[in-house]
Amino acid sequence: MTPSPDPRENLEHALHRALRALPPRRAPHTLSVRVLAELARRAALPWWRQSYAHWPAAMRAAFFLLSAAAAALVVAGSVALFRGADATVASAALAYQPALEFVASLAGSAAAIYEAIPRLWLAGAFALVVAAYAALVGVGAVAYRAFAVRR
Amino acid sequence: MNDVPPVHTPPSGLNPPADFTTFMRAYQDMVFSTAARLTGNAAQAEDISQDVFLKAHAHFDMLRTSPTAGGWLKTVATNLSLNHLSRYRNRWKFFSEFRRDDAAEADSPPVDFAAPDTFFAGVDADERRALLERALDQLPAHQRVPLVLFHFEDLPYDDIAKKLGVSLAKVKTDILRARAALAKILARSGAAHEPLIN
Repeated sequence: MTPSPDPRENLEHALHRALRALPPRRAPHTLSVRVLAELARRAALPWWRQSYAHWPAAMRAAFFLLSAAAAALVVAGSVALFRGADATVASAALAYQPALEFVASLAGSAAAIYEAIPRLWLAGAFALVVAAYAALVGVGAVAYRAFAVRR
Repeated sequence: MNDVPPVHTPPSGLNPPADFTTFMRAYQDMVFSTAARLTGNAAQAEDISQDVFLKAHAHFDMLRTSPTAGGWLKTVATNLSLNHLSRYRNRWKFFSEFRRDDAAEADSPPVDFAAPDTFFAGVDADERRALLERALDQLPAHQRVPLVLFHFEDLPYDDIAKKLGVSLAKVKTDILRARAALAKILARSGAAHEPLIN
């Protein structure tokens, strides 16, 4: 083959030939032992610890019927619950009236304080938090590269 | 495909069919090589190879007669290796990758790329193989993976970019840098004047 005038192309072809000439790396002898041991371990598992596709047909059918029955029960229960829900909600609202009023007054105070703070201060605080977070990540990255990376 | 494939329990209970063992031994070097060259780590490659053969066992009815079983195994090995790398290494990329590039650039002597057919002076085939495998292992993952996919798996640049989820330009740059880094490592470990191929 005529060498290309482009040295990078020469390098590419030379490395390609060298890499493709490499034989496969020999797998460690423990690999097949490990695979066979794992297969044996899985085969020894009782059926209910294997995947659903490998359950006995009768068990799969029973599980399907049970799941359908459970789903039907949940739907029926939800419907029954929501039918009586209106009365329950009304009585609960009366019982918790003072607590609801307290929460509402707290929210009102918070909104008033928020309105009183100048917008510039809020923007500055937000920028400060972002800058502090970025600085933390930066310092962490520099420290990791400087001290922890030893490859 | 599930991470943990279901096992076809053979009639005998605990022992897999003998021909699966034969099948595994026929392909284990290829599967292990694929994983080892992508991960650059023999222990991780063994774990990945184990997963590949467990999946193969789950599909053995199809694979035992398939003429493309080798390709299936290679694809699964490649995908599992890439999944492994993205799961366990990408989280550290921000912290570690740039430093490796800088280090590789800083302490390496320049290489004469005009004469790349001159590595491996006076080394025999076994030593040449070991030198190349070691040099590959020394590359950082973001250079080694596209290089292996390009030169060993014959994937075009755009397929590599899609598989790795990076831009085409980054793939080309990483492969160029990987070749240069590989040449530098080889130039330092071997000396000149023997062609790369016999």
